[in-house]
Amino acid sequence: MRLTQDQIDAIRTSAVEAFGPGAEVRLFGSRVDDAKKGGDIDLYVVTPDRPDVWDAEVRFSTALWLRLGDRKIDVLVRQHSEPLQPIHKIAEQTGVVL
Amino acid sequence: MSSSDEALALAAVQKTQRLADSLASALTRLGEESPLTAAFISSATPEDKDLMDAFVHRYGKLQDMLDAQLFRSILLIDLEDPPASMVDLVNAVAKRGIVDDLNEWSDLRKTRNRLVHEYEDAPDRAAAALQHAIDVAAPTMLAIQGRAASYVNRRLAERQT
Repeated sequence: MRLTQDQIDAIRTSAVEAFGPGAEVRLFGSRVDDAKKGGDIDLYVVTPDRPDVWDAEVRFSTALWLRLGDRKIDVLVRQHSEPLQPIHKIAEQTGVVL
Repeated sequence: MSSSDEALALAAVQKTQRLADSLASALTRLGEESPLTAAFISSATPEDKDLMDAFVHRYGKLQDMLDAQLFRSILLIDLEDPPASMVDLVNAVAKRGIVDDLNEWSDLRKTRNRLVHEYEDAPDRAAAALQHAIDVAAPTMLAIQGRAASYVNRRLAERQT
């Protein structure tokens, strides 16, 4: 996994702030592969259902933006009751829990 | 402020104004289909698809021009160096009352990501993303463009008196 401890801490803190302690965050995509270089940070968040999920996602992105700067970060959020899309399956199979 | 900064600012106002007008027109037409449903997305006619494509394209383009050109012009007019970081740039225009805060701009960015590439296979999510853009994000961006343009025009008028 190619994230520094500071980056991992920033992601965890931001997730708890935005979604609360019940959410799980996984890193997936090229950053999981130690052999690659650079690349977007792809995050997959699974959260208990909440009516304000969009607001929480925006708060999460804003917090990441503040802590990690302008790098490209893609956030994918799935609530527990939502059916698994193909991209969710990939994230669950290949992702690393942070 | 140099005359080239002033010319750039005016050009940015004009370009974003044209885009805002065309986004507003797509917004009005798409709003007539509101509330959008997954069924509308799945069974969209070629005309409906063109309209959605135009809406999404203009939304993204206006957002790019606002931060890349108009926001930067505003700082140049105020004799400040535009910051390299987008967070600092948005904070700087928020201080001038043009954007509410970082969260507001962040919502616009996320909406765009969602519109552009996330849910091509999931019409219900595409419908939800478009509906949010129709109800909240596009009107917010049009309002921001209006405030930014007024700010530039006011500052340039002050310079001339």
